[in-house]
Amino acid sequence: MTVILVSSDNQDFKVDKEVAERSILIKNMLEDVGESDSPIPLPNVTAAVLTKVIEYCEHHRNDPVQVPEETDDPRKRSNDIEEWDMKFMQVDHEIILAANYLDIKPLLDVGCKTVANIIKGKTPEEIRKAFNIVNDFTPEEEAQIKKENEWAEDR
Amino acid sequence: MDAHHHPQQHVFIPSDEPLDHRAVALHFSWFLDKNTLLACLRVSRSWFAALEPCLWHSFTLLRDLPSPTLPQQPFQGVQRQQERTTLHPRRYPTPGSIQRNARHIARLRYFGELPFLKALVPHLNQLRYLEVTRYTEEVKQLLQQNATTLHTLILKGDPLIPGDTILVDRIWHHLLDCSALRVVELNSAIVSDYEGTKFGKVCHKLTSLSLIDSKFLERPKSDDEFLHLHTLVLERSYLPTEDQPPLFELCPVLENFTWRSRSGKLSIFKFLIFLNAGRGEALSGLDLSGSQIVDSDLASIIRLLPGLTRLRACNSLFGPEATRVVVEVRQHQIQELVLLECPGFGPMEAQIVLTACSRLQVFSAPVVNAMHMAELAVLTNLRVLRLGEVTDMEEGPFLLDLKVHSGLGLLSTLGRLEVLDCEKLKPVMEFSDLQWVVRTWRSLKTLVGSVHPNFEQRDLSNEFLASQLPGLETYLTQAERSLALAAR
Repeated sequence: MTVILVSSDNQDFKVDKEVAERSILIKNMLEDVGESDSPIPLPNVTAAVLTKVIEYCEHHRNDPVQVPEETDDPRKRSNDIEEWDMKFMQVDHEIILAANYLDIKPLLDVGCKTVANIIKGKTPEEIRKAFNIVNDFTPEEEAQIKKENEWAEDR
Repeated sequence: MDAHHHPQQHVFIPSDEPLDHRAVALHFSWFLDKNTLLACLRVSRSWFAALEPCLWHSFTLLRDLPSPTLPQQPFQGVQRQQERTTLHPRRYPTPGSIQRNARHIARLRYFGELPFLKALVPHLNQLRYLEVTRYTEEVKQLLQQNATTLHTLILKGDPLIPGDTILVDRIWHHLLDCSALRVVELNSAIVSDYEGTKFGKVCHKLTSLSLIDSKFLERPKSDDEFLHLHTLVLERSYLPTEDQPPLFELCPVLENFTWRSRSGKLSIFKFLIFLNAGRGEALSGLDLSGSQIVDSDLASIIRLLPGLTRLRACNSLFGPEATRVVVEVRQHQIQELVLLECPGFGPMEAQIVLTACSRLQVFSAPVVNAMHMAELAVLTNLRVLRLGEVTDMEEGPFLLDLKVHSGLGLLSTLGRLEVLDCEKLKPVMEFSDLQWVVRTWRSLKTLVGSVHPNFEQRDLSNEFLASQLPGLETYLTQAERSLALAAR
């Protein structure tokens, strides 16, 4: 059985139901709505991002479904990313946002882990270089933030 | 790709909420260590705005904050703590920072009676997780302020004050008002003998209940069963006499059951009746350590648990009979087996388990040692490996080596290994062996024990391992590791 997903820029994507249901958001909706041919609009996801998300879900269509955790803030590890996933993730924060919106936790985790691995141990300047970010703090402001949050440092 | 669809058709939009940047920022922050997160705050204004609340999501306030200039001193009482507070204010957030951010705290661990707490409490109304050591009246205020959000409550007496207990009776009606409460853990608590009904009412909404080092003069009273309780932990807790039904009888959906009781033995007879009535079908994790259960009873219990995947039975008489049942009916499902100090579990039993139980991720039995490399190698799911002493000295000192060419190389199949405990083995590992470890066991996070008898060599080895395996923690003994984990 197939479903039609519609991106925010009005492109249709025909996808197997099993693949679409990697998104818990879509899965729950289909359960509520029942059998229907209606296309499913995703006003928050562009075609470019949706293409990548569908690619991820196709590749992982046979993965075991993740059980939702009752408590949040688990200890997360950054090392165990599948090789395919590593190549798939060109750091695109839009994919991370889409994964959160569509409730595809494994994709959200992969995206976050990838970015985390890039910035681990870096100074603010090194992080800015990695992502081409302009520093809009004055040196005084930056120093104040450092001082104000000294209490949180890991010693 | 079909480019047209019908605008008139009734469409269901899964969600028209805007993208949740805040939730994503929070999720992302969990993958960062503290210092990297702090560096992120200084990257730019938008990063600061997105990530500052994440810094406050989990807040810990314990009494022994390390001071960078004073030497570490043992706890000297509350007054000294107050002194330390005023001498080093930068170890606490500024009032302005608290005003701006304390409302983001969702997880709070604190030691009661710290003066700083009073500044924090008025701002806290989003708590989901609350862990308190040393009960103070702030607990009541926090329960009231967070009645709709609190999910987990952990209360502990002060471990440095012998006999410090929490009289839970003070807070039952507050707990009843906490509509989202699902997980409760009580350490060093006392429940008096007229609060059974309220206790029962609270238990009705819980999914997890842990009673540790506590004294219950009355069990939770209820005519109905606790239909949501899937985890029950009774550790060194005193429960009233056996004429009342044991707590587990009220829990038909139990998935995890721990009984480590100091006083009174688990009524094995009643437990077996409970299981025999098919009530153990959901039970997947069982911990009967310290219960001195005999081999044949363990065998019966295992046979009656079709869903068993995790079993701990330290300090029991787990032996040949229980082993036989495990390999006959549970060999394809058992994932964790912890059998420390089981005199009846010998090398032969270990051999049988290693050969039959291919799904094992955690296997701790001192009798498993370097002689079993070939058998261990097939347990590709193994996450925790504990190697015991080599008792068969006829084989000579070569087995004390954990060297690639003398058996270690066989364990290259253990790609998921996270914890290596060789405290009892006391091996000698050379540089080439360590290089093998960092190439092969990329998931290794914890090392317990010493990899070389010479302490300088050991320190250098640990340094090397930690430099190559990010996040690796090394401990000399299991006791040291337990302390470190408890302090977190």
